[in-house]
Amino acid sequence: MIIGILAIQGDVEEHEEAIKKAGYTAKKVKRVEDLEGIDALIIPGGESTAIGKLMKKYGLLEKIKNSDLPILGTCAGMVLLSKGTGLNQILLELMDITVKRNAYGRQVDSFEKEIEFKDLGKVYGVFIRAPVVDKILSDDVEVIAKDGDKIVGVKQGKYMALSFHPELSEDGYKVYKYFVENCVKK
Amino acid sequence: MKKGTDLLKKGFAKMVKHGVVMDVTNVEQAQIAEEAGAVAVMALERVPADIRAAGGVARMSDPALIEEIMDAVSIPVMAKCRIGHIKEAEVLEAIGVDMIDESEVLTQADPFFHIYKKKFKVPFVCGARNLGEAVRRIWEGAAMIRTKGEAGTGNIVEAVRHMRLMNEAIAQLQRMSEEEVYGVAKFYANRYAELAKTVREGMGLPATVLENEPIYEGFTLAEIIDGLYKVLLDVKKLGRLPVVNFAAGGVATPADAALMMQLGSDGVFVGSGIFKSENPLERARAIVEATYNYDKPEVVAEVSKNLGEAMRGIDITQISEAEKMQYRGD
Repeated sequence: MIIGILAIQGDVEEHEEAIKKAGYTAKKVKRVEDLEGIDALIIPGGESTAIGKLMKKYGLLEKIKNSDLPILGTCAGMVLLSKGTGLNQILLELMDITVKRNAYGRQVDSFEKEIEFKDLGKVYGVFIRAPVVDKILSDDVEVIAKDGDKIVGVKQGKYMALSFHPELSEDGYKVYKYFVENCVKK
Repeated sequence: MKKGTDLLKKGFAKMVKHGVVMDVTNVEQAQIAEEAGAVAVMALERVPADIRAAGGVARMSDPALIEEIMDAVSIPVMAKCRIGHIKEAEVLEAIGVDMIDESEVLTQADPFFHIYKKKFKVPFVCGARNLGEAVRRIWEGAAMIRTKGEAGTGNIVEAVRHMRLMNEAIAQLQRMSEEEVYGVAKFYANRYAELAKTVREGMGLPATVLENEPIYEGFTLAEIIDGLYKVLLDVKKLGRLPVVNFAAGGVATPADAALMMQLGSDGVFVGSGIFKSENPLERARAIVEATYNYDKPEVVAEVSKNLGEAMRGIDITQISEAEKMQYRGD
């Protein structure tokens, strides 16, 4: 199982480590040709505006959009998978959700806590200037993680989007395994 | 629920990796930076080149200006406080900036100490000229390090010097025994004993510090040595700093940014280089693209074309030692 990590900007190396810890092979995807040979793709945390612009300019946006790669997006990755943020920015628009960026506030409002995750029970959530799902636009979208009444994890077919950073928590590997079992292998 | 933890502060810095942070002095510039693909902006009244030209005391910017910029962009906003100015830092934390730069670009406020950053919930970035400064700042709680370079000069030589000094020190550290590393920690810790030593000298006493007397934020010299030793062991094990490490202080062209990435920077700060140039939006965009494509010279070449004049720049040898910002705070 080779999992690619979109390596334009953000915490690429942390995902790399976490993927290895979960027992898979990691590969950085910096350019279009790096998409060759991967079984799934992770879009890491970072700044969604910056990543979106460079994805488009360097052909990754179209290529990823038109591939049938399973994708896991964390934080900025969730934003990029969504159909809208209310702001003018470049998105993949692959999932039937809209998101609210910086939904909890600024960095001083960033937090860590246990959250409920479907089938996994409690998972440690690291939320950094995190987005949350604002609207779900189709019945194909399944909520897999919630923080109180806020939707912080969704799955739609081979796509999965999370508000938080499993790559930064000790038990994050469980989430990668969940992604592989439920989005990649199915 | 936990807030303001080490994990969250260092995590924030990880999210800006491989990106470009740009100095901006108003809303319009902040929007240009965001449009160009900056991962964050540094809000300040004057860019370093203008601070250098203006002289006088350079202080934290007007909180109203910082807030205006925070309201205008969706990307994180950083702001600078003076080295050791705990109250400026508290003000910046209170208005909710995403990261504080305890910066040598502003006039130093405390001649003895840097802020003990572990007490804050907001993450800090600090400049460093060498491994010793970096390790001290990390022990104090900095979530991110950047080279000091020589801000406001448009001259990359000092940033390169600082990155090379750090890389070589890390390489040497990896060849050392733990005992030797402990010796380095002891040497690095001396800086914290200066106040106590100065006072003792002023009393006609020998300038020695007892290992068990508190000298900084309630810590004894022995505790500080132990803390620095732990950071050094992390550096030795990882072969790099245990926090995100950016380049800053003199980046003016796309090739400058690419050079710093090649030397192992996790990302780049651009201060005066963008808005002191002829064509800020195009130059900002080009620096972002060169940072991403630092390993592709043909792309760096392409984005470097027709950018108009870069900032004028200053030869380092033309600046007196007293005017160099990098010596502020070690």
